[in-house]
Amino acid sequence: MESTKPVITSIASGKGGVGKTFITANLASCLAKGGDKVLVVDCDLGLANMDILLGITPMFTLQDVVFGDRRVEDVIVSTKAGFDLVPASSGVKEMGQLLYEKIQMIKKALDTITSGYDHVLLDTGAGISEVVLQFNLFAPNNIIVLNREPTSLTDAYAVIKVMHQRFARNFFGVIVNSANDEKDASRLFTHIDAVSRDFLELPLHYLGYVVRDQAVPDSIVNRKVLVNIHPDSGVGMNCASIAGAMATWTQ
Amino acid sequence: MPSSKPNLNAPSPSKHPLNHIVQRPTPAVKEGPALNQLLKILRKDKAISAWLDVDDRGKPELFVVLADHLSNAERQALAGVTDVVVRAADPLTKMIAELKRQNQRLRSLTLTDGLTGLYNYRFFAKQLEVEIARTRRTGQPCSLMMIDLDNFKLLNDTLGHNEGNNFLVKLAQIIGEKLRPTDILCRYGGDEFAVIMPATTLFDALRIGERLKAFLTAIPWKLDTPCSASIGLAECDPVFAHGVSEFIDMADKALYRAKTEGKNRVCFEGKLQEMRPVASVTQDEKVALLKRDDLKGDNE
Repeated sequence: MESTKPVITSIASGKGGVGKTFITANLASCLAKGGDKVLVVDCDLGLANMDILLGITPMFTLQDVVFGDRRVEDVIVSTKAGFDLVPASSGVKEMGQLLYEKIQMIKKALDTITSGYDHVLLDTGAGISEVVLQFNLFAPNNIIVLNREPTSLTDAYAVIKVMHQRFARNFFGVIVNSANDEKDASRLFTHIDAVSRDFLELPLHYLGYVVRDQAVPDSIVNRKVLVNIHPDSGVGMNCASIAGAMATWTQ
Repeated sequence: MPSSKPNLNAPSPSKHPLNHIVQRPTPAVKEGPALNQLLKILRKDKAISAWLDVDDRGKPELFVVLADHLSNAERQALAGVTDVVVRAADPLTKMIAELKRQNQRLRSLTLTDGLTGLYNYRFFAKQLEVEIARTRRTGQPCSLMMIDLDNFKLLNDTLGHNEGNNFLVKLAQIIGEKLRPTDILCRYGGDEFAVIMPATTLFDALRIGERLKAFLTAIPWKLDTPCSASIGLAECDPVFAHGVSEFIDMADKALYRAKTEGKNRVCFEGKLQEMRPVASVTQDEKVALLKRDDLKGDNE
């Protein structure tokens, strides 16, 4: 395999529970199916749950790197979903409020392991805490996941605003999750895009949508990645289409 | 500087009524020791005019001399104690422009540091007061950075003060380039610099401090030990807004710790708040985001 610089992408949402982790796992699987070597890093250090979604129980996590003496390469697990994962563990109180030095340490550790991959996806936590912002800053590409709930819209906008105003980020890919249909999704995107253009003078980039489907919660309950069990479903094709767009990104 | 200026809008100095009165230096001029020595020159020139000003203590000052028949050396001697030395033929507008320029220079001299061109301590203290007031009023954060070179004394002792000064000038320029346009870089004194960082949390200041520290160690200089600096940081608390000296003390304390803990490092005073809302969504933005007429009827 040719060795190129990995495309590092963060997935954020502002509000929790809009499907960030679900979308990250499914996009990673799609990219992996396309032949790319993919690494997912669970950056939701307060409430990590990528491992739960994938049905795995990791022996070591990112926490062991930061607070213990594990090397980050020893923490990587390869998953049945087709991609590698740096898992994190939930509920470790001090992890959600990492200090500056620890964030730098994680960034340095990530630098050493990402080089072998084509795509690195960072599943960041909810909110706009410093840790979340710093992980988003680590990734040159930022994806924002939102749905039609008003709180999702305002929180997604808050992430975009802070990243733009504080760190001069200008490229945000938007994914609309749980959309009724394509029209519903593109209307929602047009709306937040218009507000962003009005107030921040910043156009957003529409990456696509994922349709609302009972198969989504079912796959989560079964701890399976949906695109791997129902690749031809609406959700499966939506994810494949977004991954197709991401596959053209270069670092 | 004289406390008042002659009416420079007069048509021509030589025809000005004042000319008759002060055609010759007034007796009071004799009392000024510096001027006393120049009387000979002043008397030599028949067309001479001296416009005088007398300060509160009755000490005369000479600020405009009209001299047509003097040698260059004599003109220079007069220029040493006079704001302007002109010939009757010199255009007044030029003279005014020159005066203005000199005034501006004098004013800027009082706010900037003569060596590095950075803001001086006087400006720094004044500006810090403004930024603290802003923090108190708006709740916007403000951080303060103190930078102290680690081995500057050694540089001075080894290579001389001239070389040391040259390095300070170069360093001031480099640090300035590495900061953001909104950061206010000042020379605090000696080899110590202060940076007022408006709208900057301690967290962001720490990031910038670390970056600056790393950059400084890469600067080539003429000693065996590499160039490095110790950096102290503090953030003004918007709730218990500090006074100027209190704020400086905090940053100084952090700098002192950076020094005692082994130099070439960044230390900070106060609590590092990483969970601070940075740029919250304004009411207008909220209204715009939630005004979704275009989405009505979507509810199941």
